[in-house]
Amino acid sequence: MVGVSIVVPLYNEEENVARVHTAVVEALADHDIDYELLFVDDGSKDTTYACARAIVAQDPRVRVLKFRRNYGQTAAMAAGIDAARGDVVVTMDGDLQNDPNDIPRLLDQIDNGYDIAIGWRKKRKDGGARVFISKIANKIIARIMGVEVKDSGCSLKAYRASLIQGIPMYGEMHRFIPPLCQLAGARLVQLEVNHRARQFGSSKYGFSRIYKVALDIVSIRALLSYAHRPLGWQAWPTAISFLMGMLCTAWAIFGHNDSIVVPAGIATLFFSLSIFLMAWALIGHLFAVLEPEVSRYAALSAILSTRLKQPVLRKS
Amino acid sequence: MNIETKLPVIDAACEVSVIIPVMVRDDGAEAVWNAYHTAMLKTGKTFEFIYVLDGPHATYVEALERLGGEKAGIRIVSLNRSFGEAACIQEGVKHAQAETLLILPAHLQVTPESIPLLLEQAETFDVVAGARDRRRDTAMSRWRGSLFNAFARFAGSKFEDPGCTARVVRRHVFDEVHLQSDQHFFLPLLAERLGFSVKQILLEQAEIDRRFRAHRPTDYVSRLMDVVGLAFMTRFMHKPFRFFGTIGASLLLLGVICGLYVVGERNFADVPLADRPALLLTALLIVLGIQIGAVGLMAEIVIFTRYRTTPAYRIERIVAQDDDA
Repeated sequence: MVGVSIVVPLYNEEENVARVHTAVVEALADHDIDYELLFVDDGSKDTTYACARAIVAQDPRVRVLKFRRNYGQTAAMAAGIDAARGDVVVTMDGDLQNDPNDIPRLLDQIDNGYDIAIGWRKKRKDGGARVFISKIANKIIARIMGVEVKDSGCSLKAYRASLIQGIPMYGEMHRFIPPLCQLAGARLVQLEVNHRARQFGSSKYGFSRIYKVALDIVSIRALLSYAHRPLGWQAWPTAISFLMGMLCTAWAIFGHNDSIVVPAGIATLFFSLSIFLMAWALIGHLFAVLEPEVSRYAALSAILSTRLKQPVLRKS
Repeated sequence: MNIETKLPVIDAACEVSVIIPVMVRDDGAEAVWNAYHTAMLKTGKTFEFIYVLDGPHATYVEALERLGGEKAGIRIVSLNRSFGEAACIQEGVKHAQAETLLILPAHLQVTPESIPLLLEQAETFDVVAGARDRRRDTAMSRWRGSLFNAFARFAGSKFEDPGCTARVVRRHVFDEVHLQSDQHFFLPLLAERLGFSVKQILLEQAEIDRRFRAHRPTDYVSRLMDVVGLAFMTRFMHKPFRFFGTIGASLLLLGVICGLYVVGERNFADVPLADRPALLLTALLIVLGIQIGAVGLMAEIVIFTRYRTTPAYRIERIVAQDDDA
């Protein structure tokens, strides 16, 4: 049984594989932690896979998961998390931007009873306007999702495996892992971590980006309310449109209009909308019945609270 | 579904299975068989021919029987009604004995001489797709072909000439690629997305293929639907609300603008609100926008409940020390 799984996605990182391995081994050497290091090769075109394989031969704690082709970082993360055997999953970048020495501090927080510990980089060097837009966007996301994440671009995070393996991971979900976790009832803590040079543009907030994120937030909110109440998630829109229909009917009957065609037409439209929404809600319910996955997410918080303070991380 | 029900075991003696789905269009059973057969003999490989007939083709079966039928290495699978080319190909794959499958159309698209070129590449790639060299084709066909190309490119395909169905496919590809309706046109793209190695090579176009052929209007419509379906699958499958939400939000916005205009006119120009059809339009746009958005959310729910069964990635292998020794 492994205590901690460290998941590192790699894409064309041949010169960094061995360094990541040494850095992780050194960082965790003094801490009595039983861990595995899981490299995910995201279809690299260079010798990343061969390098990683060579490390497997030397170190039994290392595993390599190889993709057939390049599928992107989200997919690599999802695959690594799915394959992880530890009770705690730590994710980090493959380019040594994150400092493995921070891992024990994150793990301490998990030991303290938190379900998710995420790092944030205090010193970031970005252009003023970009940081400003990024901050505003983060504030809006925080408002809607109800979670303020200081630095969503930092991939150094530690989760309880039962939590992260129950979080839906597809499409763009990886951006919303902390809010998703917290809405599932997880306790979240943010820690300041070291950050080394070689900065990516992690704050690409243009208009199209904001608009995409806005759409994603709508769908995630809808999914969450669906996961919690598979039949009732559309109750409010349905009720409102039914009410609108009633109001328009009243207007058609009691309003002093020359013709009732327009008010009656609008009333019909809103009634039909409420019927449509109800029909969709029923179909959604059908999916919830067919697929136990849905109730699993809703029940995550219940599982988590029973898992408080489990000293699984230390060998002793 | 078909007359023959006994499925063969994989026969190592047979190196190539030639699968020929016979649809509406064919260039004569004898001529096509002769051309393909001669080409196959030249490769020096052992082979079998599997004809999959899409619905009853009595005269075609007779012609094949005259060519020698089972004795000449021709096996006939007959579907009792038309199921489409993709179904024919999959049925042919079920009956194939070889590891290497050569799928050829029942009409000559490429010259028989170029078929060995396809097979040469089959050693190193999972899928080798042919593309016709259209330099000597009629202007009309060329234009139509490039239109299909452009649509396919919109759907995310980087392969030329999806209409050319001369391909070599390794058998294991069909364990994971499941073709529906007319998706066989995009077999290279689908295989590539699942992580198989795909190579496209340019082949000489057959003389007979250079004549202009008229397609039925329904063919164009179904082709367009295929491309739209494919585009949705490749670009929005794991984020459907991006697609539906955009349409829904635009309609909603249009409705709100229309509504503001109507209300503005009532307040400032004293146009009575209740008699205006524009108000009906406002409500219609808003309702439609919400409905399309709701469809998108339903699509999200479908993915949310089923994403584990259709992961976006394919793992080639997991290496650990136990099994690495």
